Amino acid sequence: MKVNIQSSQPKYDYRFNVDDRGIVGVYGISGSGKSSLLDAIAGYQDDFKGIITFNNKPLQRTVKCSYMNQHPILFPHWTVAENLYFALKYSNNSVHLMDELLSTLDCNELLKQLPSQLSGGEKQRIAFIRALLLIEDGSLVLLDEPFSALDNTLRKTALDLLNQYKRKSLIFFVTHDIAELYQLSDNLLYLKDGKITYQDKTENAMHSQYGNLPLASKITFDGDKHIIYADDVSISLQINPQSSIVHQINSTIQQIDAKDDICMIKLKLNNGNSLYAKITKDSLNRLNLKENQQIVANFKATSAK
Amino acid sequence: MLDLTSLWLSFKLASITTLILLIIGIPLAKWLAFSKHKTVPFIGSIVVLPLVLPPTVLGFYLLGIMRNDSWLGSLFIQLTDTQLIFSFTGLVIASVVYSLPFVVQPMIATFNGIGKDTINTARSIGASKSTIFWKIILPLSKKGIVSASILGFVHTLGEFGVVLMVGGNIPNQTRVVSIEIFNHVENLELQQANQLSLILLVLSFAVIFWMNTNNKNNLIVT
Repeated sequence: MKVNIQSSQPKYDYRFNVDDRGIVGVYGISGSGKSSLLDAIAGYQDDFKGIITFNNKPLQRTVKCSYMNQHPILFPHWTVAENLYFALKYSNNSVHLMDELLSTLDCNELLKQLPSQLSGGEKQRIAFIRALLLIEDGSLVLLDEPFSALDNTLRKTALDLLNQYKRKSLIFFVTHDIAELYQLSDNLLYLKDGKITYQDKTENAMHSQYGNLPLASKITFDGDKHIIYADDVSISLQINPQSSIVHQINSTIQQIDAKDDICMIKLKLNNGNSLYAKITKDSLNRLNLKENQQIVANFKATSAK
Repeated sequence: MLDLTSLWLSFKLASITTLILLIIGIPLAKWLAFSKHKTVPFIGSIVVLPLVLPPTVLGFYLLGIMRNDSWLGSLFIQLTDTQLIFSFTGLVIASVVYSLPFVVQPMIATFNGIGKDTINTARSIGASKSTIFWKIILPLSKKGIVSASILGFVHTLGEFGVVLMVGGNIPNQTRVVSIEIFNHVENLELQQANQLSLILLVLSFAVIFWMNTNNKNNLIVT
């Protein structure tokens, strides 16, 4: 997708290129223009000038897409089932998929309810199912903080589901949860004052320390990929069997980057993963850490996102 | 014995006027609420005009449009062999114009109240404009449309100035209840005037009260 659109009042300027498939994480503080970006792509904003090319074609003003608002919109005069069937009419997907999604997200009990009878989390799940039902090959999916009201278990299920769709659609995903963004997205757009001020592959972005992006690493253990913030990693000179910390991993210091009183240390774990640690200069000096030195990286299991 | 002919005539006038107002009011309100055409403020102002103009002024202009030597008046005579002015049909046309803002304004408010997000959501799903209107906007506006119709009906029941200007005072044809009450008062038949007035008062209050109890979020207070 190639985006080059601007509006004058309020002032927005969005220019970027991303692949036509995959998940694009959209990050920025409140009021930076994240929701407006999604609205502009969806064609909801009239005052944008410019062009968006998607799948090698200019995007129409009223584009068919899976759009999920921050506060999900369900049609209030229809039951949950009627809301979902309405979407299904405009999709090639089957009722079978709908049943499957309803079970996966634990929504079977909600079918006969009216939207006004649902909690915020329930509304989000139904709107998410509707969004997924509309996804076909080459679809555009716009999700604005879609899982903010879900508990951790459901959120994980929803994120796993979303991950399955990234090969066949382009998904824009706005969230304030940076771990979610690091975990899920392929590319990251950083917005500030209505402009995209930084864009990169997410694996680079999490090491960039751009803006208020926290330094983090994505490492694999227990068969899953986890995000570990540099803030949560400590360094010791040897393994401590008396410690409650489960993850004590032999590593080599690859690089030390000292800024003011804080040092960023890039570690190479013995299993090949890279991990960043943040320690104070005092600790660096106390442990007398040097590049290429063998040390032990520690992080609590609970800090893995 | 109280003569209820005028009351019956008023009900007939109000019913036909409301029906016509529904037929033209819904598309007009939809256009005024959703269109971005540059003529929207102009047409919107014309629609609201009867709300602020003295009924006699409105009646005077309607008289000009409908009199026998006018374009509309002479066409009507050619087609029906009867004159438009001082006829029930003329009264219907005048009532439609007079009550138009009372029907269209609440409808616009209802349509606007649905919210852009709901309409955008339906659009992004792939629904056509007509599907969005028939399946989403209209069902969600049911209460507002009922309120608007009742308001139009009650307002037509009570009109006086416009009726007097274009309808005159012809029994069974244009002598509606408001005119009849005026006649009674003029002839010092205060008891009859009182009875008819009371019927109108109770009826109007009952309708508005019913509406307000059924539609607490959208009280009619103006």
